[in-house]
Amino acid sequence: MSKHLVPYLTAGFPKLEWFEDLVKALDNNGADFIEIGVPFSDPIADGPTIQNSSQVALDNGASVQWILDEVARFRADIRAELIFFTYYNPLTAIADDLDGVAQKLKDLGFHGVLVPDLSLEQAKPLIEALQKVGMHYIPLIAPTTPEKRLEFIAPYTTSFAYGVSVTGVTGARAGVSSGLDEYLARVRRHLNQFVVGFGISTPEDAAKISKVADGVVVGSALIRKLEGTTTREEAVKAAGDFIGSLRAAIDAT
Amino acid sequence: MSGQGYNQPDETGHFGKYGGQYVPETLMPVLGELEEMYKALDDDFWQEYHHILRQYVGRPTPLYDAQRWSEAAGGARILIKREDLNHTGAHKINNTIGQILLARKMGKNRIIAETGAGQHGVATATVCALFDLPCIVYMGEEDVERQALNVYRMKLLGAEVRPVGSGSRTLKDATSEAIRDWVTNVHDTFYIIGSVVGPHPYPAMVRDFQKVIGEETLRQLDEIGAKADAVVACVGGGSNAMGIFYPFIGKGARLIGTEAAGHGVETNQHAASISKGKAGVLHGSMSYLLQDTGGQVTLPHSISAGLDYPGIGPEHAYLRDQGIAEFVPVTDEESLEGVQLLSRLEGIIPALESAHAVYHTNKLAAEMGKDQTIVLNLSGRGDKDMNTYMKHIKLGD
Repeated sequence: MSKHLVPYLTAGFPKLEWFEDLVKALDNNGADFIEIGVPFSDPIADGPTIQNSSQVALDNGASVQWILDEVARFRADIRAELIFFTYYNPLTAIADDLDGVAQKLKDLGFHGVLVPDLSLEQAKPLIEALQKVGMHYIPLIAPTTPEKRLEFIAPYTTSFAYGVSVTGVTGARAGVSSGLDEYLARVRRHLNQFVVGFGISTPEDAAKISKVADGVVVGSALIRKLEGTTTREEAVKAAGDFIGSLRAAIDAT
Repeated sequence: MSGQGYNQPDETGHFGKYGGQYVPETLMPVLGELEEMYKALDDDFWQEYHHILRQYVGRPTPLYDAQRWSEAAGGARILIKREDLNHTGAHKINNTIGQILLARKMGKNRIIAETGAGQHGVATATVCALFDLPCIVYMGEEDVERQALNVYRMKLLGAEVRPVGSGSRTLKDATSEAIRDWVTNVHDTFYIIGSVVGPHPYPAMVRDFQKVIGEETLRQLDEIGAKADAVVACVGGGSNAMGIFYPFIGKGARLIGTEAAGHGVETNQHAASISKGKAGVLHGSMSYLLQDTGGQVTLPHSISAGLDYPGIGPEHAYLRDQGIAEFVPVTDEESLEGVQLLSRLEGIIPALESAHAVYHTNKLAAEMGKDQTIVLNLSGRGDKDMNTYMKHIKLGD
């Protein structure tokens, strides 16, 4: 089976009006899942690149309600599955309670929800609400996660888990970290499906990771390709080419 | 545990719906380790903690009978708990002593902290010098400017001060940056949080390292045969307030926190999380939070860097909802009145944060009877705020 390619895009970055075309560029160039990133004022799990894209998107006016309205408009044109990637506070602003949140995201055709500042212990009410409507919660795993916690996380992994490649915040780094093989072997003993993200920035990184994981997430590196683009065409081409190059590298392994 | 069956937080780290652990997975194992270590603290640990507080910090601090002020206010008797007389000039050091002892027990050899007014940064830099550990303090660029004296103090004590230029350029973003450092360096780093905020077990732990304030006050009241009818403290994150409130829960005194109302709660320039916020999640826990309808945190404003924060400790949120504590807003201007009042009447120059509580105490005393008693927790001294005072308080020649 082909490995998943999972790009992350901060909705509303670099321009509000480019959002739909950027999602379509990712979709057309081999994304299997697309993480729709909801910008938050205080992204504690993100490094400088996504902190900046989040601030730009917020300044552009990318509210959570705007994002939902946009997705409602173009969802039918996208083949890839969509993951709602959001910090907890804006997630709760979608509806009065978690059941309402889950229903709204389900109605918009989202596959799952990923919340970087929600521990699994704290996520239980959200997981229940998502399960009721047949959606998936995407649990996170870190290099600091011990075997016992992997056992705890495994049963909540109904789609796939997201393995953070490094102890740290998001951001493109020079090369993926050493010691990764041992960590991912430990994860493999407990989980059937997991993708790996944080610090993946080149086709070589993507190829390397896709050998040991079920998929590759790329976030900051994609955002950096979009930084400094001045026209819609330029941004769409930058995103499409980059994702296409990762797709080719993954499929060649 | 405090009086009359009050037993918070629950075993999952919640105060009602508030508190909890809203953090990245990377931090969960270390929070578990910290909680275990904290729950297992033995008599030896507490003896060492209290020994340092006596010998080094100068505790117990006096409960001062403010007779001139009481007379001028024309009502209740006002007693001042002098946390401003602690070594380093504020209550913050009670907590940093406790946490650095814990850090050593856990074998962590690098210390990080966030700071607003710089009092927690100074208190952390101080204990790092005392225990010979490297110290990095995150501080918003705006606060680096308005609290220049404390920046110099931290550096003199050997700490590295890292200015934070993102977002609010104040305490909120300094805290976010400290959390990012912690997520990255969690294997060797201990994060000394400065208030009753953050993920469980921090709010309970910081409270327990500050409750010495309230416990001493109860003993001192006993010694003079007095009883508190009201206890007043300023609230940003809320550590000095929690420290004095906690032992008073169930003891019949009104517990009153003063929030920073900035230019007024009717404007959008204030830091009154309880008066104007709603439940939300920031920096690891759920509490009252200043935010917009889309769940984005809004920028607070206060003249006082220490209160300039959009949230409040989760236990305060719980105490408020339960009707155990009450919270009142005090504006920038009113706090400056508080500064002048205490300086002239008692020869005590308070910190800007504490001056919020001074102002409300003065008002409250006038409404209460002469047979009643207010305890004001004076959390810090005003030396660090001289630049601000010189700018805003015009004196004659």
